[in-house]
Amino acid sequence: MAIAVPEEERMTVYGPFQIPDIVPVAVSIPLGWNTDRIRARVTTIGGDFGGKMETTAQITCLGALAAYVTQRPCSIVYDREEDITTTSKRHPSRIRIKSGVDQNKRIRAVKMDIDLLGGAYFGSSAVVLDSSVKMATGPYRFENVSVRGRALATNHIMPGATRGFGVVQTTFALETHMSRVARQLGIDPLDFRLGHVLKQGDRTSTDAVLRDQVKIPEIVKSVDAMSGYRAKRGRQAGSDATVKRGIGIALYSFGAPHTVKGTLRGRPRPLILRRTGSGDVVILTTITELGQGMVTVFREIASRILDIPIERISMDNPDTDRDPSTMGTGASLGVTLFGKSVERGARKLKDRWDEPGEIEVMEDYVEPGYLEWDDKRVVGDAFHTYSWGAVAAEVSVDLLTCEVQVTGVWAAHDIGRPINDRLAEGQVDGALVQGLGFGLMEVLESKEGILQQGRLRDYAIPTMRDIPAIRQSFVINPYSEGPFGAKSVGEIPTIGAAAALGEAVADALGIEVGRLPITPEYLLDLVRAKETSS
Amino acid sequence: MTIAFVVNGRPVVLETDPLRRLIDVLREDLGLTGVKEGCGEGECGACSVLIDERPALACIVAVGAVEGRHVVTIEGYQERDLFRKVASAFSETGALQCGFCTPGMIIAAGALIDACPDPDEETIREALSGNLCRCTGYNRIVQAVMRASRETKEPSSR
Ligand code: FES
Ligand code: FES
Repeated sequence: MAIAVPEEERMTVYGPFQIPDIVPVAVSIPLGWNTDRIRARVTTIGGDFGGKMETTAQITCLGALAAYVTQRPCSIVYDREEDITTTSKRHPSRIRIKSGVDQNKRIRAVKMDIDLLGGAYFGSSAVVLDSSVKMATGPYRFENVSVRGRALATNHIMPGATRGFGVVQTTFALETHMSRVARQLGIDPLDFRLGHVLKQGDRTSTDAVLRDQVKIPEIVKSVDAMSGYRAKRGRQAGSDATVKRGIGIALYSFGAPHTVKGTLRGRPRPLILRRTGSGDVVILTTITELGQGMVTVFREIASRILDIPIERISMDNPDTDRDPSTMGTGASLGVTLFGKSVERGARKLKDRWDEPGEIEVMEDYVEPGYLEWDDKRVVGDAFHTYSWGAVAAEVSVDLLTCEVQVTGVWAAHDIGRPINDRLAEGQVDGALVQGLGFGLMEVLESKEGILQQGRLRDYAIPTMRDIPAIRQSFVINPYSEGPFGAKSVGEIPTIGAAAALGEAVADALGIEVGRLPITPEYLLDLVRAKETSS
Repeated sequence: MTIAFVVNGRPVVLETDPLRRLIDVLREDLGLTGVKEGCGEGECGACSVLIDERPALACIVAVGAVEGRHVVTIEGYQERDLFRKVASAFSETGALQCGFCTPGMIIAAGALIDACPDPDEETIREALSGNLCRCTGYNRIVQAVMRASRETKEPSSR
């Protein structure tokens, strides 16, 4: 959706822009204008999940051209089919993993080959691939690592940044691979993985030292306590003739924020806190509320520091004429990086609180001084810090129809210390279900470059009936550089659900799953192949 | 053609094509933008309204079909006691994120509680399975509906 309103020398465009700052730049190109003649104002966005980053700017260009030609306000509204066919999707990918195991049954070396299908436009492929590669080895430590990542040009689905940011795919591949290797070695897959988990002081695949505690063992313990994973695992396959049950678990991590010296490239991203004459506080920024609760969290941070009620603090939808250019949010930067700017700004405001009239404080993000990054060698702190998680999924599989029903989901995460538990839990619930949809049912095919699923009728997402109640916990591990100890939560819970699902199906049927989504058709092939081989 | 019906308790008379979708008439002619279009083909429930007190999808109903009938959108539904209970359960439970599905969810949840005052989890998941939500993972929506149904049983305790 976009609305363009021509004014005398200028044009104002309205739309659900994840990064409002890029919209005047985009619109200036077809109009042949300077960017300062274009004002972008953000409407209430709805959900985003990466889909409103680049494509909203493209749609707005069309609206602006129409307004330019007609000299009248124009709006463009896509119906669902137009939307599905023209907006970006998660990168389809093919990942090959080879590992070398020593006589002590430990992985000594891993080689990963990651291909993301990048579509016909470059778009976000570079940043998504960047995350895929830097997070490729997940929560594990391997002495020798080789990762090759490529984004390939295709005439298929147009991909873009999508929640999980290239790590959903690599996690499914790595978890599946490690579990398979464990089975071949005759070791319990969870124990095998736990034996390779990173610890505080270890080095990541980019040679960054992990400064903070890694609480994966506690996380797994919490998931096991909620789910009964260890008691259930491997015991359910033979339970019934036609319906088999299984349970699987996945471990994962997500690095955020990206270090500025690396991926973010060091451009300033300030925000403003203004105390008005009447003593209210306004936060001005082009960081957007995408349904993730950013506005509430920013207001909560400022309210805690300034010790005034949250109702006295406001943050409106962005307006590029009014707000400093913070370049939106994405890749789970918001709370950890910019929430910290809000915290620092609020402290400065507090120091000056007794000054009369209006006071304004501008605050840019600050990176912890100890971070180092060598872009040429791809060595150093790729991320400020990491969030960690584990999820268990339980399934029943109907052998007649090969349909998989998810019967239980349990997850635990270390996201530092959450600022607002309810919002954080909501992020986890929603992300888990998106991960399950991705793993189970969301089929999107392209034939000769044409999408075969253009409507919600044939692009099925999980309904309430497809999903069981979710149980979850947080393992508290305050991050000293984050606001009130918080780390990122937006992407991470999306990452492991599909991998846990694959393991659950493997447990139920005694097969190896190697592809997503696990549709009945794909499962039927696997079951038949198993029957003919035995 | 002239079409007369009642929207949120107010009589409406329109000169329009009877084949236009009810959702378009509600949103564009009457400015009732709480009716959301998520799919336009009856798959997502975002456009849920009540027609003669029964939940219906405004994107697959032609306006000619509501001649002489009572339509209630979330804007009119807000006046009801049940709305207040469901809405406060939604906000206290955190049953929404972006909010796009929320008007339809609340209408569907209210209709469920009307029909079945004490639904268990399975009944809720079945009854609301026609209302899609991409953000919440449904967990807290189910909890909110249970909470609202509990509260409707304790008359005006709050
Ligand atoms: S818009 Fe009517 S059901 Fe989706
Ligand atoms: S809250 Fe966003 S679709 Fe339900």
